[in-house]
Amino acid sequence: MTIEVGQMTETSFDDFYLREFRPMVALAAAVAGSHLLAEDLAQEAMTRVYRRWDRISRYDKPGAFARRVTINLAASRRKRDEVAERGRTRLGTQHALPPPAEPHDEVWKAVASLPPKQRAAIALHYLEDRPVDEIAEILGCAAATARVHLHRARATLADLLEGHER
Amino acid sequence: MNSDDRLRQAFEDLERRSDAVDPRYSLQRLGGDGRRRNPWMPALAGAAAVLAVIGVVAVSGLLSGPDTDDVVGTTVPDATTLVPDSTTTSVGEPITTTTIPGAGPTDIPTHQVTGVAEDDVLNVRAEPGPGAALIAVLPPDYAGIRALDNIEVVADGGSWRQVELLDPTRVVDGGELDGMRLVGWVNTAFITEYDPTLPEIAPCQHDIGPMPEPTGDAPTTSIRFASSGLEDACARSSPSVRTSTPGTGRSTESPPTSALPASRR
Repeated sequence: MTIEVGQMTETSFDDFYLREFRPMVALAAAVAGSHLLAEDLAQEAMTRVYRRWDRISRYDKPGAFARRVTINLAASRRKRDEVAERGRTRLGTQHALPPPAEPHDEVWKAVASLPPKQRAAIALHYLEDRPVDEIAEILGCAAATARVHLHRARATLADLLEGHER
Repeated sequence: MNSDDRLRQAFEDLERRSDAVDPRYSLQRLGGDGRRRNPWMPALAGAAAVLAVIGVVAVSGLLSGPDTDDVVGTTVPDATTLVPDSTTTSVGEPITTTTIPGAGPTDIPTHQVTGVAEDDVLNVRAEPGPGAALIAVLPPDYAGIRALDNIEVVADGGSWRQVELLDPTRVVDGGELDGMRLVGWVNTAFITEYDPTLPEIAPCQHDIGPMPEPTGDAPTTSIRFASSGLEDACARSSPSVRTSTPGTGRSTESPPTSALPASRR
């Protein structure tokens, strides 16, 4: 493929976007706990990457970096929503519209009960089949820490999901 | 069906739903794919044109204003907040440009980790001081540090500087990473100015050598000879401008303005 020098960055970012956007939407949905928000979160992450694409494109794994941004944004959003929900509960008000019923609702409720890092680790494991080393790189922690996140998440989920079946 | 199978099913379903998203649509919203669709772009272009016209008028006004030879000095920022090697000041021109380290382009590292053992790490803290919360840990060869300003804060006997980590993918533990920007404080004993040509950072071993002789341009200490009258004789023989600072007891002498070359005024 011939790329003109002046358009190298832009073309590369477009390719990067088209390749990575869908997995980032899925990841955002898993971490934020809402498919409705996921696309906006992934878009916001991509916007931030785009602003500094000159630098980020020189990273070894810009995709890992974009995922980390997505996870942080999704976790922040989830935290804000939880605070708002607690406020609504305290005031005795409810959503105007209840959230739509999701397939695998019970599974997602169990995933939502995990801490953010564990949620992200489990999402990266099941969505993208990433090894522990890459999960650690994306989460910004040591491999051993990522392994612990993964182990605890799976143990909690097994307890919640299989406990419900019994 | 065990929990693992249920999780796999749920995530596969999530992936299928995400596959239904068309990234080309959102890429266009972002402004990619060769088609810029920012609705504010015409307004921004108009504002930029207006600012450009104002700038041209202002510059032409300056050029047709007072003779630039009359401009003797310009305002130089407080020297205590600047590193002299990186400060460029054009004296004698109506416009002064000052480059402050750490305030330049936002994606160029200015410092790198130094003096940290290979099996050790450098802590990045939320506040200056060893007791502040730990927000990230850097490997000993981390080189993507940008000093945010040039103010060092002394806390608990150490000197601390606020920095931004430009390569968060190499941060060993960035638990408090907020979006893309990781900012914290590091002890200045463990960072040095960024030098990409150095493969390994060795401890500083400067050979200072003899002190240079003071030149006529540099400020010198005035030595007063008791009742010899030599100082007064010198002052009379060479007309100069005397500047004294009230209250400090200091006085400096410099040649008259006309004796300086135009570029030094």
